[in-house]
Amino acid sequence: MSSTTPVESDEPLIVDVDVIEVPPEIAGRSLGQIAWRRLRRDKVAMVGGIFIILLIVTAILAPVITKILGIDPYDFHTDLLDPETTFPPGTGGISGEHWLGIEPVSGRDILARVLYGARISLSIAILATIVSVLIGVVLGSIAGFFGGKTDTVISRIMDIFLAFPVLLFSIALLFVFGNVQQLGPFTGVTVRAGLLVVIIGVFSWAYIGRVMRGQVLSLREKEFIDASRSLGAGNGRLLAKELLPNLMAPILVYTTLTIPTNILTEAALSFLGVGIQEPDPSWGKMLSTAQATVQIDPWYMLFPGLAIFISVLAFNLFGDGLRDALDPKSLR
Amino acid sequence: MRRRWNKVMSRTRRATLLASAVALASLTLAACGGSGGSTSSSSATASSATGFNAAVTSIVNASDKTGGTLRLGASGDCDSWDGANQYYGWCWDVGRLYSRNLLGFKAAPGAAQFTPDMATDLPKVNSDFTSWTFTLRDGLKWEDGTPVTTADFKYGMERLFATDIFATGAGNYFTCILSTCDASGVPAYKGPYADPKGGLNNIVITDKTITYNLVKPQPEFNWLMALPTAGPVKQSADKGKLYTLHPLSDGPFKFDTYQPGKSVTWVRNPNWDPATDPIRKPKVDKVTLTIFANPDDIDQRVQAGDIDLVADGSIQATFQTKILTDPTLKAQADNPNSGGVRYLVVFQTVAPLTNADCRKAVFYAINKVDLRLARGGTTAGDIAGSMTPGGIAGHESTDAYNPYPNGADFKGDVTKAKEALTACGQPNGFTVNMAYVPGGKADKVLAAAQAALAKVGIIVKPLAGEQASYYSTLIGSPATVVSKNIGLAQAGWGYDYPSVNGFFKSIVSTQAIKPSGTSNYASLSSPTVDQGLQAASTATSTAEAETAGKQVNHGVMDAAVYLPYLWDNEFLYRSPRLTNVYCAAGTQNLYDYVSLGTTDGK
Repeated sequence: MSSTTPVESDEPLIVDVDVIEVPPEIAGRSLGQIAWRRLRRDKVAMVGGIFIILLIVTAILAPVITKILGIDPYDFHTDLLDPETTFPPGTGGISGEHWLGIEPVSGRDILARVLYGARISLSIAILATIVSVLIGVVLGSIAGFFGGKTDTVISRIMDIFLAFPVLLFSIALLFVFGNVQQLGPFTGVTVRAGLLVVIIGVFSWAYIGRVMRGQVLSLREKEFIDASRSLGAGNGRLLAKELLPNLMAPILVYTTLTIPTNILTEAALSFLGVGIQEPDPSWGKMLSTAQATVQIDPWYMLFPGLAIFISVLAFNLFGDGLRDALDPKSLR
Repeated sequence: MRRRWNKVMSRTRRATLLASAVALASLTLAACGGSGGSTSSSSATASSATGFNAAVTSIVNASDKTGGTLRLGASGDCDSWDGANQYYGWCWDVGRLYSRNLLGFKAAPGAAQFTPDMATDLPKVNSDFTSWTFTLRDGLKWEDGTPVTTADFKYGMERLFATDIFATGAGNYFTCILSTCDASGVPAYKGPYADPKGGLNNIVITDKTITYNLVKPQPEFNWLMALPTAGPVKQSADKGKLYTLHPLSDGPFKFDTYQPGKSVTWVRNPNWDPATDPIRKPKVDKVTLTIFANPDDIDQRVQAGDIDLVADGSIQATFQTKILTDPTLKAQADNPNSGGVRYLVVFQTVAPLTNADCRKAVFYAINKVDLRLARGGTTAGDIAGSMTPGGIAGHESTDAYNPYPNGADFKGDVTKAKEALTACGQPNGFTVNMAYVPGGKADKVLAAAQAALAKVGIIVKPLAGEQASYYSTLIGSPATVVSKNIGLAQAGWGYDYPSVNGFFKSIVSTQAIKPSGTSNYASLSSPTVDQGLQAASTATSTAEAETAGKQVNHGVMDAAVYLPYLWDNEFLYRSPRLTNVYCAAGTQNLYDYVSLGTTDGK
């Protein structure tokens, strides 16, 4: 404690520095650290995040898991089916060997197909999201930053893309290009998945593009931009070094929230028969086949349906939590 | 004949002994039950008028009650309502409502019974089957009140020669026997649109008679004159390609409204005189056909009672399973032999299938049990070892003749397949495209074929086609097959009439090869087969027909381009509201639609 002697003499004031402490809370923190703390406190978002990690790990390790369990997504087990009705016995054929049952008509193991379906559905959704984010961020930022004619042209293009009936055009495009079997060294499901990534990505960039354009519009009037400009920074430097870091938060959020939309789009396309083709598994395709006979064998529909539901829910919950955590204006 | 890719409707015309000297006509086809006794119920001999398969041999709910509306449902529109372009079997059945010909089939269950329809009697024919004379009945009228004349029959036949427009019907049965065809099967006469001044001189008409002078003998001409293909058409009402929008009726019903791809309604034709029609005894006032994009919807409506019948036989798995597992429903179902065959085309024009051993590898590796499962299980039919189905001369059971045995259990012989692959220089297998029309069973057939062939390293890639163009410009065009690299294709076929030629002519003869719309998809051209077909058409005894039929069947199988896996059954369900339900060989083993009535008259 400092002394309380009134300062009247000519003696210098001596303060005992050891006694004065700087409280740790006052030390500066980065945006990332703040956000992480807030996210950590959001239990629902954390659960979503854990599920996402689980999904990705499962998708990557699908071949390993199926090998360990002795199942295969492509093997037929038709001897287990009723030859007159073509359906599995009991509850969807669930047994010690086939934990989630088997498909009717083919007898293929559902667990193996759901696991491999995760690989296909998640990779298509994530890659398509990356495609749309790249296009959207680039075009949206350019539109917002330069304004004028550039903005008008790009904004109208975005409007056109937003107005497209996505599903109809995807179906049409897939009919036209669908029978391509080989692109360079890639064949089979890789080509098909690549086609879907491009189509889904190209039709979903406009949403992110608009958001980015709005963000850039509000940021470019801020003083730090003027400051940089007065220091001689060109447009390129401004875009890359000043604006982009400030856009990371909304980019991250919208990426996370676009992924579930793209999971659903791929599922819809496969459901309609223009997505992933036989014999490769896709959750959407399994749903499509299963719904025709759901009254006889509801178990076939249950598991791919649950898989889609959980994936979409996990990404949505995590994305929402991320948005709340990164938004400085929200009260937490 | 019925080129329905997912459904084969056959016309089983049982040739009873005709008044003429057509000795060939004594093939007896066992009702709708067909041959090949298997675990399926196709060989039922139920004599009661109720129960599973009752309609196969008897009339269920016989009744004279008239009035009401027959409500049909189908999962697709007909390929054409114009007989000249119509090939789907169920459409020929519906054709009995509005389209008559000189000859027809009695409205009775079981075997097809030939009978005069618009002719007074069976035709007079000369000793070498080249001249057939029919006498027209009196009192026949079109729906607009004008009389049906002999000129209409001549014109109806002449139209068929406009093969650029009428490419998908059964016209090729007529074009080369009524006109001289060149080596590639193109007739000299070009039809009334290209040649309005000329005419088919081989058809001679008088006021009441029509004489068909054939350029070569065709003992089966009577069969052909019962097809709607050669029905009469009034020249002033002809609209060429657009005639299908409202074909003029000479039967008990006429077209009222038609929305292509959506719905059709027929109402009674007041100008049809029942006294002139020994065949049709219609009961209802109106018939409606609703086309559903989703075949499951039809089944649901049938169960709800809004739709009376699945007209194209396309009952889906959900409903079928329900029927099979519910005794009350099963008693209202029928599982007749359709007289058709399901097969895979193995194109010898696409590498590496150009090598016969590579093709044979496919034959040995395929799993026919799984393919049958994909088609719907045991009720889908019997495992086929060769092309000829039951009821056709030359048919042999799979036990008796199976040139490419794929295992004792028909599940695929990996060893034999691998030997064949080594012999053709592809020991590790190869990749090949399979053409099909996505949706329903075709996807499952694809998956089953993929799984079986993958076991020997043959990778099958899907090549999706569209329903409307699959048979005409995809697999029906040899050039497209090559350009799109189609190695395998899904197909099905049923006979137009139960003779060797009636079944095989369009799918295996050299004459049937065309640049587009051909049903001889693999362009099979085998002298043995062509000679066998020729011998079968002039056979004068059952034994001769059998020999010729076997020659054709064996010749086709030797070429290893058509891989049969199933002799088809139909699976039909009769709503309890329907009366006079029976399964007729003369109507592709479907119910005879023109005879159906309703219990409540509504």
